[in-house]
Amino acid sequence: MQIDEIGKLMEFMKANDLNVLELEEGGSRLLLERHMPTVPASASAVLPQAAAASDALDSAEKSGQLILSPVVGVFYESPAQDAEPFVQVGSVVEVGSPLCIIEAMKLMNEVSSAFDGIVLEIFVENGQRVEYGQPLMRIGGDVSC
Amino acid sequence: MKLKILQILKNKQGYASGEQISRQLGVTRTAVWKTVNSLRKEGYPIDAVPNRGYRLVGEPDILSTAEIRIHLQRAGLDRFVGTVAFKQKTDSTNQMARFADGQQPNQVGLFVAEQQTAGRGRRGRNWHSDHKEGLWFSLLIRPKQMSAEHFSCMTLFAGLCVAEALNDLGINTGIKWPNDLIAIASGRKLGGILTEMILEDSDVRSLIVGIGINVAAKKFPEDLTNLATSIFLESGNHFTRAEVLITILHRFAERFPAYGDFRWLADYRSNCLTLGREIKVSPAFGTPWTGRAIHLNDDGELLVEDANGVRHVVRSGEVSIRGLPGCKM
Repeated sequence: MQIDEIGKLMEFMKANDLNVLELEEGGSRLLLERHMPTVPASASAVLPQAAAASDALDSAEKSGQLILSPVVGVFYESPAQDAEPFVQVGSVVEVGSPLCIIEAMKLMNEVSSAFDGIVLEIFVENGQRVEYGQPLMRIGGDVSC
Repeated sequence: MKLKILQILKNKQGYASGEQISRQLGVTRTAVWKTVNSLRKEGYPIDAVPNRGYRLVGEPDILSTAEIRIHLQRAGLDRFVGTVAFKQKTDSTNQMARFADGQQPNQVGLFVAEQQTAGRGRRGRNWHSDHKEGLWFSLLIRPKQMSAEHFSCMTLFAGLCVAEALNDLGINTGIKWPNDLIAIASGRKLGGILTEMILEDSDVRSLIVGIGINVAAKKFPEDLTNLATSIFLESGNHFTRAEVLITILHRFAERFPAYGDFRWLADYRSNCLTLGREIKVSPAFGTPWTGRAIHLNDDGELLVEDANGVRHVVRSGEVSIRGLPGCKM
């Protein structure tokens, strides 16, 4: 399957407001999932210690803001191969904190947080290819004490 | 004052008397003498003859803020380049640029270092730049409200500008997609480019183009001998780093206003050594595979046909070319 075909499928999902699309064709299988940005939760919705307990979050209403990939490329969780990840689930971030790098054609796009909050979820794996606009992380919660 | 005195000495064919200089700049002769001494400490060979004055002997390969500014003025690039910063030693020039303020959207900031202690290749891989025989610099661009996608080909663009500049200097240079500068005669690597983009929401806040060129090196550490080369080794000529820098900036300034029309991709293709060759693609995580690079599309991506005739769009990962030593497989 060519990339532009996948792009078309993504457009199709968007147009028809589909959240999941699974396709099997000639032995290959493609699963597309769309994560809808939700309205920021009320300030007290998530506490830092609750962030790690993602089960609770899944059942509860999804809160927070999505960080979307600004470009097509490869997702890196750390600034260098042997370095610590920028953030993990539960990390407290503020506006401007670096979250990850998306690399494409030797251009390192440093994605920083546009929100204050806690990293509630990371949707992608280190080294995974990501598409333009694909959700990378969810950030939310109340960090004020 | 250093800049002004250096300028006077550079423009003067013979001797410039201390009195002349002091009158011209409205400072004491002692002040002139002190500045000349400090220029000498930086390495400038300046002759001082009683009753005649001072004379700069030759064009030494020295980098300093004053030296760079003089070259920019001479080349008519002083309007295109805004900020100029120079450091003897820094971790990396990209870091220098990252923490700089200001910069107009139609200008670039220039950050140069004599030595980089942590010059970086891709994914933090070490880039041998802890010596004074190379030109290590970064350009800072602060565009107005542009998307990340618009600038995703910046490394390729800079690669084309540098390749053209090296050709201007008489070295037959090609580009290994996306960012390596290869001397065609030896197949070895002359330099490379690494761009960093800092985003604010989805707008580009800063674009930092890091460029490293081996200029004067006569030999390399053993593990690099077959992979790396320098301008000197390829041409036998001693270019100063300032000359190389200005030649690159010339090409960059000339092409930059038309970056957005992407017509330069045609020139990139004709300078790209990867196209039409057998290559190995090594993803960051995953198994390397081989194929033939058949096209570079309008997004700057490489189209590669594998052994089964299946075409893949390659956008990331290491790509090496069969038969080129600087691009080992």
